[in-house]
Amino acid sequence: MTVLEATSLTKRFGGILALSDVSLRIDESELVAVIGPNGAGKTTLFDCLLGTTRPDSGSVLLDGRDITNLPVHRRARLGMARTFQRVELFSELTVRQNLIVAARARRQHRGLVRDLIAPTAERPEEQARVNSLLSLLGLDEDADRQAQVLSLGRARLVELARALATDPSVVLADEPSSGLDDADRHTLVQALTSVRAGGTSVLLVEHDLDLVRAVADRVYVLSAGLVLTEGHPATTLDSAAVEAAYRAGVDR
Amino acid sequence: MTRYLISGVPFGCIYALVGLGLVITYRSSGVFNLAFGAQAYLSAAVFYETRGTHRWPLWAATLTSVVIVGGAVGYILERVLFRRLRTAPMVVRLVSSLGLLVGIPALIQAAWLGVGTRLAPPALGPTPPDVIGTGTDRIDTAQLAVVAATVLITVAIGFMFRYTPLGLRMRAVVESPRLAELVGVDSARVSSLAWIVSSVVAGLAGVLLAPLYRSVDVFNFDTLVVAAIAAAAIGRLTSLSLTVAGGLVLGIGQELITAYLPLGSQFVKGLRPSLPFLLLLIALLAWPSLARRGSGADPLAGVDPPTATGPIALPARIQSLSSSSQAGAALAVAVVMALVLPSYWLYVGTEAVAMGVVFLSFTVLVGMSGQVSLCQAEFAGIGAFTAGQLASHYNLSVVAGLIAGGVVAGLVGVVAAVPSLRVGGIYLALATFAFGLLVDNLVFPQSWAGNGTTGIVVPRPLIGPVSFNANRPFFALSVLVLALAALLVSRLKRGTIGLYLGALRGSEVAAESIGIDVRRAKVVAFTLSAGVAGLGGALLGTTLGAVSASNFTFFQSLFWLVVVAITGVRTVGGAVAAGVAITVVPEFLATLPSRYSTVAAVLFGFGALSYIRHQEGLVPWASRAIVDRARRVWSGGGAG
Repeated sequence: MTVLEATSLTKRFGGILALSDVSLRIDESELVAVIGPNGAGKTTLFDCLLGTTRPDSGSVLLDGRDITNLPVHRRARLGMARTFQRVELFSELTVRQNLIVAARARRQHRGLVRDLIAPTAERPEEQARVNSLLSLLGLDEDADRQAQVLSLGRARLVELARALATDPSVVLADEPSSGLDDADRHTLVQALTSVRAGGTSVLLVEHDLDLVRAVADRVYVLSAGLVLTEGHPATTLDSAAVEAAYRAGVDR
Repeated sequence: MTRYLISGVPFGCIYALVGLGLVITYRSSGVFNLAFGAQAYLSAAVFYETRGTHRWPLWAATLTSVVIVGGAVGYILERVLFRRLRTAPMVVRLVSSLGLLVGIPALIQAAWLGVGTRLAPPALGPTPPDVIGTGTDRIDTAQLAVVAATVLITVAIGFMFRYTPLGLRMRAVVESPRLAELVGVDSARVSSLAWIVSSVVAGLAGVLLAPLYRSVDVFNFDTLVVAAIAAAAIGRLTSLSLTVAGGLVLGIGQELITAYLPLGSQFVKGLRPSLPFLLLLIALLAWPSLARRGSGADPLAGVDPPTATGPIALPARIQSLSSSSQAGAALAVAVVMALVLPSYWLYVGTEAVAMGVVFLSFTVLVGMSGQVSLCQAEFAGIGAFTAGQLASHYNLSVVAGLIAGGVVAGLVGVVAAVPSLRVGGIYLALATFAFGLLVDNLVFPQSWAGNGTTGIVVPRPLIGPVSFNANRPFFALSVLVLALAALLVSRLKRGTIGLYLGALRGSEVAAESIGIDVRRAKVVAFTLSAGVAGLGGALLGTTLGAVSASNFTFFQSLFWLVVVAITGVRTVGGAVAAGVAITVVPEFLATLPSRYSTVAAVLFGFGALSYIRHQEGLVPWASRAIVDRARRVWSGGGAG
């Protein structure tokens, strides 16, 4: 079953065609990677899927529902989560609170009245979910530390955990491995694999081709705003077309 | 037409000068230095004493007041204070400069000049100024001096920026401090020079301004800062030439309003001083480049790693133990006070309680969401005037008046939240400031609102058979209101709203990405905060029995933020302590001779600098120290 489907996305910035008729599909429990040289349109594609940018034409469907014109937070409530290339944690909250707030925001929106009648810091169902995510990503020891004191690697894992805390149907991860050391990277690979095994789809934008080879089911190669090719990483990544695209990117 | 140009241009020039200073320091050091108003006042005062009282030669008096005093103050402020704040959170930088804006003039008055306005200040040139020309097209030498000095300064700064190596380095730092450092420019040194230059310019502006008003009055210098902020906002806090143009437009525009709008109605009278704020609000909301910039737009973002902020959280159990024991202690104190205090001190205590409620509004907005509002006094005023008008016209009971005050202020809060949807950080603070000043000038003078400085009475009608006219029952009622408000705020803080706002202050984009409706959360925060401020204001008004527009001015908005920043803007205890501090400290100081009446402002103004080190506030800091100590003693006893 298709979870996220983009059809014929086109986006111009002034005279530059950032995306040209890009289509992309992610099925349930599938881990799809988007790769491409700098300037290929990966970020614009990401932004169009997430709602931070509106495409000039084309559409985005989440679980069969047209979300092309929905704002970011509405997409999140429908089951789309993300991580950031530049870490964006809730710096003064603890790691646990970072996850709790995500678990709550997705499900419960009438906070005000409930706060006044019966405030509760953490609800049992949230606690169960958050605890399992903390141990999945190896963050148990950091649970009560403030997010701003974490190392970059830990912070990236917290971001992934926070995205998962919303119980999403698809997670969009923006270069999650950049800045990670080997141990954290290993945890990340394991986490991504077990997330997929749990039924959540993942869209990965990644420069680390080894990581893509290790985890991705399918890969889209973007170049100059076009989908160059698409397929299984083992066959796709080594094709001549991909090499040419990257070389062109380097030469520019 | 010429007449209005002649009277408007000098004011515009002065706005432009201080506006230039604001832009230069903001770009080179990241501090939006509201204290320029205080620095301008200092130089004007020194010039008044040296040139006016002691008859120094013009060159000596100018050199001393503008270059030496002005430059030295700028240098000291940068070296001692603002250099350390380069990467501090926006609130810290803002509160520090606000503290100085409050503290410096108060210190000058207490230690030296005394309160009251000095009349007939000396001008640059003949005093009193010679008049050139006749009829309506005349200009005096003081006005000419302003224009000449501004042209000179603007050309000099322009020349320095364009043709000198120092200027090149400054431009580099203004453009990107990080890149400038990478190519070997010492951006700290450049920023220190920028502070000296802009402080000298501000000092000059002060010396030039006094003769135009024919007085040295602190109030005029506060107004000057506001107009300069508007000029700087028109220059988008980047462009020096646009800033100068903005200052001139403001100066001339104010005169034109007087000329072409029929005077008479209270509303038009208020419009003239409102022009800078209107323009400021429009500039902030209309410039697309300012919109949607949060703290990420800080000019120095990324130069140094951000300093860790906020207290490390105590374990929840100990936290709730300490806050409930605080609450219990406060209630016990209140009960004892209600029983034993003489009537006058009960009245003071009631005022403290009412202010405590007002300060809780800061806890909701600044403390929880991290957004700074500089119009909380206006919200409190709206609450007080609503309660007063309803009580005198409709004999509405006290409690109903309080609720109505809160509700009306909350509704106005929805309007005030609009800027927060477009701008953040310092720009939001400035937009709320402009909003507050508009309310000051356009709404509060109306007879149906605050009735200007004459004010309105706020009676205390009966509730059923119970009279609250005596101080004792009214004190009890106030404590009850404060307790309820404190309970409300602490519940919000620990509940979902608190979590959402905490998320928001960490990262707006991330908050959106997990499904938080950021716009809605901001409007909720503003509305709740304004409502609590209105409730507190209504309580304060009912306590005082009569209130006027002068109880709730923009200055109170700034001053209250400074006070609550000292005691603790993050916690309920900090807010209650702020209410006690702001009422009780002046009561004790009232025994001093009258020339020391500004000592409280000195204490609070400079006390605000404690916020740099203790952003959680002195009250939570002290109580945590006590809890920590108790724990150590406890665990030491357990082991032994």
